[in-house]
Amino acid sequence: MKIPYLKMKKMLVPWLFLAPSLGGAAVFMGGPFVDVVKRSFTDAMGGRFTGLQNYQAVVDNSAFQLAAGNTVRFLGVCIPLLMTISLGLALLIAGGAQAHKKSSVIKNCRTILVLPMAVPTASMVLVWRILLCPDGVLNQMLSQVTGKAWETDWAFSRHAFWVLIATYLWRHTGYDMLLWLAGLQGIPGEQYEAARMDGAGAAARFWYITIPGLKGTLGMVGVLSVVNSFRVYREAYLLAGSYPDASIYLIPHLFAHWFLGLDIQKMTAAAAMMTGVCLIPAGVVWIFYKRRRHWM
Amino acid sequence: MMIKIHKKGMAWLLMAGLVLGSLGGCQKKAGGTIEDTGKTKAQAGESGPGDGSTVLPSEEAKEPGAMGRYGETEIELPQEMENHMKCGFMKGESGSLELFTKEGDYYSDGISDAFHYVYQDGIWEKDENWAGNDALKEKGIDLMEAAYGQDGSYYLGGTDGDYRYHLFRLEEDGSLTECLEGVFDPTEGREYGLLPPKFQVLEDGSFLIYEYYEVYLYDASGKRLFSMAKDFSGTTSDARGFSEGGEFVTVLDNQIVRYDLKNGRITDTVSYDEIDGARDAAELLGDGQGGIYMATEVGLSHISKGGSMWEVLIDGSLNHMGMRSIYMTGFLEGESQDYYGLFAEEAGKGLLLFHYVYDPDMAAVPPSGLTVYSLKDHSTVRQAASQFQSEHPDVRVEVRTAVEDGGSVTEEMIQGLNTELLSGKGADILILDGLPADSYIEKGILMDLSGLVEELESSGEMYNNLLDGLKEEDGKIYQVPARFSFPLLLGEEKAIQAYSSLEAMKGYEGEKPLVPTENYGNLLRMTATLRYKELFGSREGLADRGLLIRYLETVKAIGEANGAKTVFSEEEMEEKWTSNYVKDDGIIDNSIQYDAGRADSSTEEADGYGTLCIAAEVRRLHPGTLMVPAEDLYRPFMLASVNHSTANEELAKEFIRCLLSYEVQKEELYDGFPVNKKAMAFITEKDKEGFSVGSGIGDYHISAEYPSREVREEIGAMADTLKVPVRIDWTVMQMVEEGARDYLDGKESVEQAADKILRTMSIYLAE
Repeated sequence: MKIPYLKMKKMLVPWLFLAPSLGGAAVFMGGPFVDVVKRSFTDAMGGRFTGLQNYQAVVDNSAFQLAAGNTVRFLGVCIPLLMTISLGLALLIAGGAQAHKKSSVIKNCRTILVLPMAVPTASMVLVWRILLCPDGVLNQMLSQVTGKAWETDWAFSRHAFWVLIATYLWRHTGYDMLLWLAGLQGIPGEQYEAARMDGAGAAARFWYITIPGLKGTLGMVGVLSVVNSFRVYREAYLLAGSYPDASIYLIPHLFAHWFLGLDIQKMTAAAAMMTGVCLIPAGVVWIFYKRRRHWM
Repeated sequence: MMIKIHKKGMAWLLMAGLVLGSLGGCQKKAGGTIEDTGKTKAQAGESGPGDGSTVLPSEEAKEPGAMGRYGETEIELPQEMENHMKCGFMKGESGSLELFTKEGDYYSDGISDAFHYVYQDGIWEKDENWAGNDALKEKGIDLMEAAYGQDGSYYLGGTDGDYRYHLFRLEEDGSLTECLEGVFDPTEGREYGLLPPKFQVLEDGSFLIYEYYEVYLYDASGKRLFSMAKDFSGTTSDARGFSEGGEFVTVLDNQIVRYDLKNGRITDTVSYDEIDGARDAAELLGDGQGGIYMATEVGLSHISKGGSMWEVLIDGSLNHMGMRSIYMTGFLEGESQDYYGLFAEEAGKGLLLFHYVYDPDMAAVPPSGLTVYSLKDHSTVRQAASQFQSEHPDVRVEVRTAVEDGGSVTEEMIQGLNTELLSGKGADILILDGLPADSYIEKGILMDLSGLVEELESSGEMYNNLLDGLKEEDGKIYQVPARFSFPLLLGEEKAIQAYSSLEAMKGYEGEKPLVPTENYGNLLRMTATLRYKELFGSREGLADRGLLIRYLETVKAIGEANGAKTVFSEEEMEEKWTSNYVKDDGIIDNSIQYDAGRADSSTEEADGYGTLCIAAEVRRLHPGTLMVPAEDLYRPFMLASVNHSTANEELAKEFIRCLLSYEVQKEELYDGFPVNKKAMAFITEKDKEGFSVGSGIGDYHISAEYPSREVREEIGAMADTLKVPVRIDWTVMQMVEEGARDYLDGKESVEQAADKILRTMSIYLAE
């Protein structure tokens, strides 16, 4: 069957544009990943085939179980919180901007919320440590309020998980809020006007107009939040060192230590497993979208 | 339509250009001629010395065909010069090399005999007719510095019986004429007056008088014209500078500066990247055409007048210039682009003279190479590298250190090394101090050195007990130490007995605390070191909750008795004679505290006789005091191992032989005792007259001389009894320290602290 020239051109052009990126990714990411998978079936120096032994060792490793559990727990708690709080703030800002079009307070609020993104992580962590150390601001405030001496080292205590959540939210809420604001601007104002005329309350407008209107944004904010959350290791490491409280011991901690000790066989097996685990939901989403498009 | 096709064509062309360009950029040059690689004449074998064409050894220079390098040969000095000190090294009246020496030490009591030697026809001859010695003696002057002035006269500088400096011109009739009278006299705040480490006499008879931070120009009448600032290298013999062609050249603000001798103003500044290597011992000299030579442990570099690039003529790492046991004390240019370097061993004695001559038939870079990697700089390793290269001129030893002076090791450095090792590369020899040695052994990174160790042990020259201590569970040895230290205990019988177990340490009841006041970090580490076998002897080690609790309680009990804290304030540190510094093994040298009656015992890290002066003196002052090693424990340093994937296995093993050889081990580089018995016997035998140390806090003061031969023999004999290397996992220690802080501060129970530590430790152990 002969493909018409125009159709072929239409098929080829996107691939030509994608070619440099795909080529780069294939060479600089695909190649090493193949090597990672290969190494996951050998001993540390890659000399002896070990079958599934490395995978078994990783699965049985209690440090891996703890790190994987913490990572899932962090994602499970942090992502919904982040998305909810940032959406709430976006609605407040958007609502405020609607009501007071020339107000500089709204603009300043937006700037303040986005500002943490511009602060380098190391500086940010330094501030958090000053706030949370035994003679830090938080303990002093608590001592004032409760009347008894507080000397908790929050970043190293059992509360470390919530400290990490707080630092993460403080840093990334502004960014997600901007994404939500962009999504909110895409919803036509006429829909709200018509709903208001029909007597719909704020809750109804939010549920029946805002939420459906933000469906596209929801996917993007979700994906970006998950991707960004993998970078929380920097905060955890700078905040509490390479062996933090068990509640914030994450997969990157374990990987860093394995690499230091040259436990490459475990590292590659864990990396291959994690890629597999990440590919499953991605595959489900891809199939879901493909079917949805097919039905449409 | 034509335009569209034209645009398309352009686009395709651009794309093709882009692809080809990027691929071309990545392409490795395949073979190619010397001209292709853009190399200089030297590498093409056409160069001569000093013509700007000799290059730094680099990867490129390793290609065959790069010929020409300065070779080093030793010029034998007269046997009688063995105990002489250099007072002057110069080209004198006849243009020949001349050496002025004296017997004894700098600033010695009395007047030492001074000598003048001339190098003629390849032989050093003593100038028996030299009148200087008698003339100096007549005036009661001890010679310190001799120089041949640009005015064609010899000048001698020295001190009289009151340590006042005098400068004389040696007249042709053998008499001395004093110059700059009054200039060196004592002044307010300067009890001994001006004691210059060096002087120079210019063509017009004016004088350059060196001080540590300044150089003064005096005219012949003794009038000070002006001063010129310079850097102080940190050594009392600092004298980096020379004058030539109306200019004075020295080091200022880590750069080389030229001063105009007409007005003392800086006329030019030249940066020199290797200035760090020029800190301790360096010589600056002129080339006669306005250019500058800089000779340091890095090598000999040259820059032409008005030039901006330094050319490395002699690579110091390939010869004695880079050797740590000697230091440069003079460097001169010969007649035909050759050079002479004069070096001294400890305290200015043990002079060695080397001649550097360009050899066009010698490979620009030695054809074979050996790489040694260590996280920190180790003088003994450097010494071995120099020694090895002088014995194997066809091998270049590259010592790579991850951390510069004063820097700290980061995880990234180890990860970088791991990346190299994983790809089957990495250095041929790894110095394992600070590296995850156990993991490397487990992964098969390191070569089994059992055969080599067996060979070394059978020579009878080594401390076999120290090498055998590093035998792994499989009976093999993968690492050998180049140096060692051991913990030493000082105290009366009862106190020393208390170190026999945790229980005994905890329950010690004496007049004073068992140990002087220390911060808890040190007490934790000290106890872990001294009770190493009890704490780490079992497979579980500190992961045993009961043992961990006993350990923490012991430290707490010791701390409560001596007033320890996790952190001291400034006032507390002053009052308790302590600090917040935490030493990795916690063995603090605190025998002065014992001497002052602040504790019933003290600890010392025995890593050289020089560091044990005060401990030995304290024992002498307190009859009944014992000085004993803590069980049979020792700390191995500079653990050398061979990378399993090295292509130079035999060379690497040869390097380790060199590292442990008598020649390298006998050098005292203040980084531990030698593991070579013969070398230990050599340093035990060596007396150091005039060596003394002092220490004091407030009104308390103690001074001590170098330990006597009996004491040295006693300490040396302890080395035979040491069997167990202390190999504490410092990551675990850090976890213990962090986890125990609240307990030691009295904020939580020992059980809570132990559980907290075990929680973190269990993650670490599970990894």
